[in-house]
Amino acid sequence: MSDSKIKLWSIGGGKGGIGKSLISLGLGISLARLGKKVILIDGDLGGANLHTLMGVRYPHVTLEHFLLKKVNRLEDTIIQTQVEDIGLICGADDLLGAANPTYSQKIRLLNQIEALPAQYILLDLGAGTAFNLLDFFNCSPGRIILFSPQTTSLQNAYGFIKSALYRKISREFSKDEEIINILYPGGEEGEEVGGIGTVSELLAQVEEKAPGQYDRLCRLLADYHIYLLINMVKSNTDLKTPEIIRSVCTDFLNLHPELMGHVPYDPVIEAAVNSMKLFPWGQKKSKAADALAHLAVKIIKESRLPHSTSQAQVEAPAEEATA
Amino acid sequence: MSFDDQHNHPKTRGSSRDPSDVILQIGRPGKATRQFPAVIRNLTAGVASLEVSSPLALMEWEDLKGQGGRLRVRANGNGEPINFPGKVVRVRHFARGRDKGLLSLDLILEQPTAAAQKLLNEHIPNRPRDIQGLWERWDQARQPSAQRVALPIRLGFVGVTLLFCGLIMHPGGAGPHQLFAWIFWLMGTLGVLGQILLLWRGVKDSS
Repeated sequence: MSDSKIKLWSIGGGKGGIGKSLISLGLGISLARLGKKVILIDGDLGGANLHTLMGVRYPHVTLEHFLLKKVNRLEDTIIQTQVEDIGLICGADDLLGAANPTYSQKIRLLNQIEALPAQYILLDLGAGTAFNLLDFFNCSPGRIILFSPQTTSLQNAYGFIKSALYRKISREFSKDEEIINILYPGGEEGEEVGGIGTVSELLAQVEEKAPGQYDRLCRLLADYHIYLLINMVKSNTDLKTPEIIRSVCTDFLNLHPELMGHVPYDPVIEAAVNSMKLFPWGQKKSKAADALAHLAVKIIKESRLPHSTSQAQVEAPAEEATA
Repeated sequence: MSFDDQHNHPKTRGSSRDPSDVILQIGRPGKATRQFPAVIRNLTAGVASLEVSSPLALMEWEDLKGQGGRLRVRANGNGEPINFPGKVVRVRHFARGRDKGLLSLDLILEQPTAAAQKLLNEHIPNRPRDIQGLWERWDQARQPSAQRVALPIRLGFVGVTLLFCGLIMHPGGAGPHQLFAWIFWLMGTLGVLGQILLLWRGVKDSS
């Protein structure tokens, strides 16, 4: 079924209210318009509302049913929507601890996401930097950081990238005591990363104290590919913000995020949300819809490019994580 | 020595400087200038938030608000201090124990250029380097480039000059003078309109 190398794309960004769900929906609709079969997953386990944006008021089945084993196959939680080629998996609604899935629940979920019958799966992540959220983001071969030009969003987007990267490193090297001691010299994981100001410093310490792991860490950094997407752009000054994040990531995290594009601010979106109409479905002329159409083409193109992290290598968190 | 005189300040990063590197000088009308060691706690939107614990400052803290002052900092911990003039816009006193206290002041800087903010940022103790890098880049992105500021001014000047030339050549005159007068008026009008357009775009972008 799949003709793409990257099938699962996560959309995260740390801050709430920057349009993660709307962009996920818009990208899904734009991909469907290009003839692609898409499944949208509301990964906001606790504050799910993607279904509301899709005009579904009362979802009869959600991720919660799967996590609590009321439904065996994730595929059986797909809700068909107004758009023929888009299936929706609704998020859990903050009940029975679904917002904090256990390790085995996460493994079961991640294993089945890749097997879903779609060419593209878009995972709309919630706000914040909880470990579960970072794990889902890190497990996706396609990672999109969404942010708005607001200063708070800019800071949260960088914070999200940094948290996700350090989480990735600490999971990858969870059994390597030397690396964990360098990362968290003060004690347990979950506390602030201590002693390490930049990833370059981390590399230098690893080279000195655990030279055997140096190449592995370098490879992890080289493989950690992320895309930046800025939403609600109102001016040329706003367009400079992705470069700010890119530059800080390069200097302090040894990462080289790629700019995926931008979506201009468009009041049409607010009107669509308030009337529970699907955006950009049925929109004739809209700046945001045009931008989303371009982004969908870019996603298809990027999915086919060879990336070092393939979709087949979805790894599960190594051990139980608490947010 | 003003900040603008110093072009080659070092680009140190991350190290927390000795607070004594930062001195706040407060000028008082008819009285001697006071100076206190200060710690820069925050710097945003051209306002430096300072902490002062000098007993003398604590005694006179109610007189400090509204006074002109300047921050004197050393670019690399030594050398000639650089001055950042400004005005104290907020003072709050916090009691600590029986006889100790702390003043929190906001000094609005007269010239909060990106370079000035970068240098002052270097004096904020215990700042995460990456977050500092983020805000420095953000400050730079918000600063209009010199070329962008100068272009509307030049365009407006040329426009007004052409309009003036057209007026001298008198559009109501005869022969080639009339033709040139109209051409000057047309070009001058376009120049002034261009200036207005560029200024409007600048305001729109910065908002």
